[in-house]
Amino acid sequence: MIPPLLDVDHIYCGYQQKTILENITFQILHSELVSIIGPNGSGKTTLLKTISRLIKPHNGTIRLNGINIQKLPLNQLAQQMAVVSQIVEPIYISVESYVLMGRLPYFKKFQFFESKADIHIAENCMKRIGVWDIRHALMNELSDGQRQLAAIARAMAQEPILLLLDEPTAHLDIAHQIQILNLIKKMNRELDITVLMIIHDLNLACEYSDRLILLKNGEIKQMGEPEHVISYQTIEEVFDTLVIVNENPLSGKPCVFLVTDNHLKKINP
Amino acid sequence: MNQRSYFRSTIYIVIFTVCCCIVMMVSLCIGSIRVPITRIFDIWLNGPGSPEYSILFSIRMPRIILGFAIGGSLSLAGTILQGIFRNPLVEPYTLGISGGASLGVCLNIIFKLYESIGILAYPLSGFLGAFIVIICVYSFSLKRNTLNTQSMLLAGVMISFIASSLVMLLMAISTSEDLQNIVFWIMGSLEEPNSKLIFFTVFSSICGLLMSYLFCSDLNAFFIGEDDAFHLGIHVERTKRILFLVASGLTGFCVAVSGIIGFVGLIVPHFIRIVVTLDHRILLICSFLGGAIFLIICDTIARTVISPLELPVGVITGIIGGCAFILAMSKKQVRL
Repeated sequence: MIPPLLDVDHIYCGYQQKTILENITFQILHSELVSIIGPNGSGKTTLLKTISRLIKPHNGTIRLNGINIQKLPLNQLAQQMAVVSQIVEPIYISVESYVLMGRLPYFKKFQFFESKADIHIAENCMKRIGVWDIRHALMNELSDGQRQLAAIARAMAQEPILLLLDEPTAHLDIAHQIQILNLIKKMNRELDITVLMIIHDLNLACEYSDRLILLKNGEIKQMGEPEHVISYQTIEEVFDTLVIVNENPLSGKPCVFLVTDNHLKKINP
Repeated sequence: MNQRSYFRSTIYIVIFTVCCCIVMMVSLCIGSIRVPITRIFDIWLNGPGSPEYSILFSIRMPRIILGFAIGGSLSLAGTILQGIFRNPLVEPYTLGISGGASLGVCLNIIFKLYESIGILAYPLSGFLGAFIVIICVYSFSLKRNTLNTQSMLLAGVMISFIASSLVMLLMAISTSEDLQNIVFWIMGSLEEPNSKLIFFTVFSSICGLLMSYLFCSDLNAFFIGEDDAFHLGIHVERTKRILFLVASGLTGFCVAVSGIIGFVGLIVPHFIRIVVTLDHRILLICSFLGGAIFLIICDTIARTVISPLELPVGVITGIIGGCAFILAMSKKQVRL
């Protein structure tokens, strides 16, 4: 049996003394695309920060390819795991320099400049992600969507086996949301990169994910394929919101429809 | 960095190095006695004995070398701190290092420690004052093993206020002779009779440059935020601590040797960022050389403009630096 790529084993963690996540256990297999969903304050970002080693868990172990991530040297961790933050800052450097930073984990001791191979890899990433034409533009001149693309290109330049994304489609319009998620799915399928991302839009999460992890109050409420996780009862319980869940006629995946107060008044005046 | 910008950056470093050499040579020739630049080698080859040799190589040369080291160190410290804090207003003196050094020197003057220890009491007390402030700022900002840059800035500014208030208190109760001594020291000067101290300053500035250069890629990564730098495999906390200690150590040493020479650590790094690059692999070296050039020019002006009297070099750095900076800023945006 193939061991899981990421093994989150009974994690308890939080900030200072306050525990936010309690007894989180799940595995992610190679080449899976898994989304973490849940209401605001449920601990999604904390979980992602713990997996990326920004926060040290109070208890429990996280293993990447069977190795405890706390014991991995930081540059080796960065060679295997890349993180795209929710906010990509509009800084004053070119897209090209920004993407080239993704090669930093591969720098040897006393290496200060990128090798030709590093430049070649970064160029390929820029072409693949579609930021080649804007490589000379400054990051602060780009739109939110373009900056997100540049951040993904930088993460790809790290040549990771696991890609963590914190709400990659936040602040984007529907076309850019789909563009970014199509790209993530493509990399997941073509390059065998395992993806774990936080996403708020339940419909997009269902469409693009192999599995969903539903968090509530720092605990895993449900986990599994979208068809099993997304039901109107679960959504009502976790999000405290009335919805209708139907099947997307094209993909067969669950599709969530809102039930607003107006609808309720019409049904039950 | 692609081949073209690599080439361009190398050119910049070469230009700065050549400029630095030219400025040093010109500064050597200018003063109350002017010597044609072509005669420098003759005087040097003829060896000691002539009055020109004493003026050029015993009086002016140590001052130029000290200007090189102090200017380079202050500018380098400014570049490092602005890189760590990602704040364009930070300069080496923001963290209260100058305040601590001033307080140390004031205490030395008031309690007349220089009478028992000798002339070395000035740099020693200055460095001790700066060192105590560095330790205070560092320990106040270290919370749960993490160096918080915001609280570090606040602690630095507060300590700076406390120190300058104490300096004012000491000035208020000191005798007029002591007061003159304190004011003279605070104004800053590159006149340093002790050649060993000059040697140590040069040595520490070069060491500071080499040490900080080891972290140039880390400083570049800080540009995209501390969390993202961590995700690129950078030991953020370790780098911050080492660089903070390097920058504050350099500043402490400079203040102890030459007094408070303002503006170099704030203006030169910005100027280089506007004119040359934001890439710390080039920026660190160019900033160091730029600071050295700037301070040597300012000091040459300070000692020649109303010759044989001398102006405090801090006055010149402020006026020239401020004007040049506003001029550069009006043409291009300040970036960090």
